Amino acid sequence: MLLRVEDVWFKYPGNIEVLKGASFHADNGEVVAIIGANGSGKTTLLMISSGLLEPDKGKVLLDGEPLYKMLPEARRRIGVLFQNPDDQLFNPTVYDELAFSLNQLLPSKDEVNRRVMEVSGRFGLDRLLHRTPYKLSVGEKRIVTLASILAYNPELLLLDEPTANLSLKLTEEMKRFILHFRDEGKSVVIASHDVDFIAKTADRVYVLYDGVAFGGLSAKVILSDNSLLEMADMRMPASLHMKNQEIHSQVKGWKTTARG
Amino acid sequence: MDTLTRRFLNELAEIFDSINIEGKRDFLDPTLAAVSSIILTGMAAFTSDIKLLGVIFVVGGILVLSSHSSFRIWIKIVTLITAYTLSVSIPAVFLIPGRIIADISFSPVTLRVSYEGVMETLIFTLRAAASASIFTAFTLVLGWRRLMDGLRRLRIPKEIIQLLIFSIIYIPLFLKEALKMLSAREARIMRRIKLRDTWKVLATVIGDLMLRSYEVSWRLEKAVRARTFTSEQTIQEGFRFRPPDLLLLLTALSLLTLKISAGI
Repeated sequence: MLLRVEDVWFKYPGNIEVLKGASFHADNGEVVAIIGANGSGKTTLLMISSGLLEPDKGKVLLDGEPLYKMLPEARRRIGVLFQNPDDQLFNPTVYDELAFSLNQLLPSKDEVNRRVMEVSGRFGLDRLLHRTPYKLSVGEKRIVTLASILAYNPELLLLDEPTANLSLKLTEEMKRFILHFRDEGKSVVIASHDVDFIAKTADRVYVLYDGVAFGGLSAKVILSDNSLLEMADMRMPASLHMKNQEIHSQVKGWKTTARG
Repeated sequence: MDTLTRRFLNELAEIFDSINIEGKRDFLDPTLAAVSSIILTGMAAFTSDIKLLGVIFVVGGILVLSSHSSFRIWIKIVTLITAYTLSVSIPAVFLIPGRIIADISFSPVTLRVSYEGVMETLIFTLRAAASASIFTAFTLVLGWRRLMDGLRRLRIPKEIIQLLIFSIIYIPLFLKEALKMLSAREARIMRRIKLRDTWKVLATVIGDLMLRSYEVSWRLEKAVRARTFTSEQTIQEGFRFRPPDLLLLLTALSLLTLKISAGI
């Protein structure tokens, strides 16, 4: 078990209780999705899972060890993608953004440079290296934030609304990237509203409702359960909806044939 | 009036953006350049010697021209700072007592211009112009990032350097944010109202900006922590002397020695 969050409670100042005993886990080689309505606490749960917020109550374990005791070193095993890329880009150039973590991990500037070039080549960022991150397009910013995390090769990815404001093409690339990451035996936790994207990527799904995570079963089961989806303020993904309709019309056809 | 505000905010944002550049990689060593820039900017900020201020101003111009950096940006920044300093220091011409050299009459008020007041205003403005000239020149030649590298190697606390790096990124962002907020408010003013009332609405931008800045800094802290694994940066580089470094450092040290020997 790579990440285990147990009975986590969290209140923001002003007594705003967001989490009331939420629990979930993510294994190696698994994509886990957390869905929920706006303001249900998905982002807070991800922040707690990455050690950026400390819960009022409850435990966060990384490989069975309490995460907070292993910080900040444990952060190199976790990559967090924030919901808004503007919140995550804080360096003067894209190069610096990619090199920020590497400067802490690699012994020489040459090695940092080599690794930055390798990552920028992989993500097609070579022509943007000396640009100011906040002047890039939303899609480019998203890629830079992802590349800046993958530069240090984490084992666990926490993605907050990874497809927000992305074009169809980039969403497809994001899907391919997540599945590739999973196939390498690493874990991904996605907090998202994009039910179609989750249907294509997640192995298991949790529904966050009233501060508690429900479900944790296979994506197919959770995403075809209308009552759970209603709790998350979501509709059935198009792919499952069409499948249901197909089955429905097929059954109708059989009935007509039988009657005939 | 509002167009002036908008243009001012836009220009200011552009100026910060224009400083946030990569700079010339092989022209100056960041550490030695940082030392020279601290000496020259410090002298320009504190001296009252008009000749010395003139020399420092010219050194700034020469530095920009010899490095083929953008002269247009340099002159724009220096002009803006000089104009602003002059505009805020003009009252000193009338307020500082001394030998009266002119009377300006706005009936029923008469303003008296003193020689000491004129000199104070002149020196104050020249100090600002010379400091802006030399510091902008170093920033344009080195780039903000390499200037910060230089300060880091001079063992300036990393918290201060990080604040300086953030300021060059976030000041223009907030200026642009303020512009968007002004537009959003203007879009909802649907009838002719007095200028004073317009200002009342537009002034609410300040409160919103403060709240926004708190939110942004909260998230920024999380973003920095998410990618911070150790308390120290591991990579350090040594000096590399080049002829322009030597020339600049010698100029800075000679001016400082001359000034000290002549009495500050």
